[in-house]
Amino acid sequence: MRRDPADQVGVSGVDDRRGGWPVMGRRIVSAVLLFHIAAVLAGALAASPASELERKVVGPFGVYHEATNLGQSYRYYSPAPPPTPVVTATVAFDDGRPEATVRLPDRGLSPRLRYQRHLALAHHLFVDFDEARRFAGDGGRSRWARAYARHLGKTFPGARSVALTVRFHLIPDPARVRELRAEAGSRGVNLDAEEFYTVPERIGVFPCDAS
Amino acid sequence: MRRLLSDLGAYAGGLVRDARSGWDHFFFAPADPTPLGLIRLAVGLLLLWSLGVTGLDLRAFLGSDGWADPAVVRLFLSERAPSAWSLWFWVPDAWLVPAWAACLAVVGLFAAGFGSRVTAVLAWAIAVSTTRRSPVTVFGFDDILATWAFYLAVTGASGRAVSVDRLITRYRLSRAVARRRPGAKGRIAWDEAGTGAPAASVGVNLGLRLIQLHLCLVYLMPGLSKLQGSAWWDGTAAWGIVAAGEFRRFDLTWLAEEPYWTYVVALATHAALAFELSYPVAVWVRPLRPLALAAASATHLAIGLTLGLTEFSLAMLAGNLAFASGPWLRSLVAGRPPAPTARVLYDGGCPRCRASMAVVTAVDPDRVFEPVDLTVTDLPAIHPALDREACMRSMHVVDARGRVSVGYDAVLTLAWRAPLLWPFAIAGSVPGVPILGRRIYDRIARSRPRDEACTDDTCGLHPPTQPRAEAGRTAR
Repeated sequence: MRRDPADQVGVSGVDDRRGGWPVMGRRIVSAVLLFHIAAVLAGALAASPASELERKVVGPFGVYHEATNLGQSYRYYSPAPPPTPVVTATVAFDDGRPEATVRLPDRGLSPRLRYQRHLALAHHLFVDFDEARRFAGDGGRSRWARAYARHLGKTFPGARSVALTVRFHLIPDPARVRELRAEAGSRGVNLDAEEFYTVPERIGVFPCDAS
Repeated sequence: MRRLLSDLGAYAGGLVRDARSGWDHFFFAPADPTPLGLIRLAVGLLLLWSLGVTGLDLRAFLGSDGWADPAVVRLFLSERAPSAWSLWFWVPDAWLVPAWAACLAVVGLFAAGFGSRVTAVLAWAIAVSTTRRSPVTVFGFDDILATWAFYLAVTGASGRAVSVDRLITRYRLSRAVARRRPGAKGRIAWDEAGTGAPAASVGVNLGLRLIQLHLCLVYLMPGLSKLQGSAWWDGTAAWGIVAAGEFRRFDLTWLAEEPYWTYVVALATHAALAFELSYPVAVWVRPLRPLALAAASATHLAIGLTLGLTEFSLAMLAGNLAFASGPWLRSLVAGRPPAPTARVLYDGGCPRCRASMAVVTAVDPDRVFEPVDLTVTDLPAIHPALDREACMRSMHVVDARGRVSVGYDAVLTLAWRAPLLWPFAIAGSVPGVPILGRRIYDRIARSRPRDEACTDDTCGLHPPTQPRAEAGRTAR
């Protein structure tokens, strides 16, 4: 095996260090770098749609991904910007109080980062609900739904049950927006109008004492 | 055939040698630490902000009765990421607030660059712990921030610039130079305290290279993935982003009208896709790098403004700093080429003044300050209006345009020129504060010790070799 002339200290007189690092140090770090780069690439490529090869290659890096919180797929807004899930929780009480409604995300939250976190709450609940519906045949078995209901039950003392629904805030059809703009004139278009939401889907009703 | 095989072998051997050499040059050449220091500052501040906002919903996000029931999170992680960990799992509800406050303190120290090698690791652990404890509140911002924090932690070099660590190192060096003052009539060789340019290091380069490569992947993957979607081909995808009801900050529905629909929405769609696909290549081509960085800045500014994803955009821009040149970044505050923009006249017979000059030298971004000992200097040669009596009463600063500021105002002049002192400059310029500042400064200047009445260790190491009564023994 041929050696890099820079490695041959004492033979050629060439300094065997680059940036002050000894050869062995560079080799060890290079091995770690290769592993890390492979792990990050494998994680990015393994998200669906992915080949069987890509899904198999990511396996050995699982522990590394989990320990370092790396391995994300970074597929933002693809294949197209999606509609946004919006969750509504209706809290019922035993003592005759009127029902309380919680919207996720809550538009009144500030600063904006808090609102983004609530958007994430709704997104993760929908993903879990959708998986439960597809794989278990019952969206009500969503674990996050039960966790959210439990949290709301604690937040509203005396709550009897929490009913969760999810619907999508749709991306408006530009043709419809043009129509509405023509009708509304300078008042603008209300993108929160009911027509821009899907029909709410029931996730489940969760008794607070058993959640 | 033999020739073909030998040529192929020679080609393969050369390729391997070139690859090894290129790899070493890419990863193991020392790099300027300024960009990495700025990335640390940005990541630290964003993490501090994120934790601070989490504090508004601390129990809801991290408590046992929160949205993410710890039992469900453990089950979720055991199925999907059994090696995942979170320090928050060990924090009982009663300790949430103290633990959160401690995390804020650690991240604050990390942002400031204090104990950077340790605080960088702790800040990363806090970032990861928080995302793992509450996986239902996580979005792209958290992943990007934790990734940059990871690289800052593992390379351990983020405190080599723009940091309290470096400030302390430079102050110690400056103070040592001040201690070597060669007699009462000698000049202190402040130049020996070094320049503002931090020393290049391999650890810094590793951090920058890893962030650069990861950043390219963060742009490339969504770019490639978008090619699957027809909306990115027919030019309508940008509409789906700006008209998303839950994200909008402004009414942009007018974009549905012509000619905006055809020319703005379609152009924005194609430009966004072209940017994501071209950035990972263009940013490595030196002449195209400024264009790639400008496009990234414009893209993230647009994302921040229209979608309100400000923190995500800032985190991505922080990553883009990895491609910025250290000397260029320093030249933004030090000028190009670096040249003294402020001569600082101080009383060389006053230990406190010499210690102050050690601070001034330590915060100097790149030789923009020139300390001048007025006791051994011909003042009219510096500025004809300078009066020795007045200069002995308080510090004077003469800037490159010949403007003279005095006392507290001179301190502010210096603070505005030294990025590390910008927080002080801002706070010290708030209306009303300068009035108080001038009084405090004058009181300190009047009561300052001189070498005969030495009170601190800086002057204690070099007592005067001759009486300095003629220079003004008593504070004036």
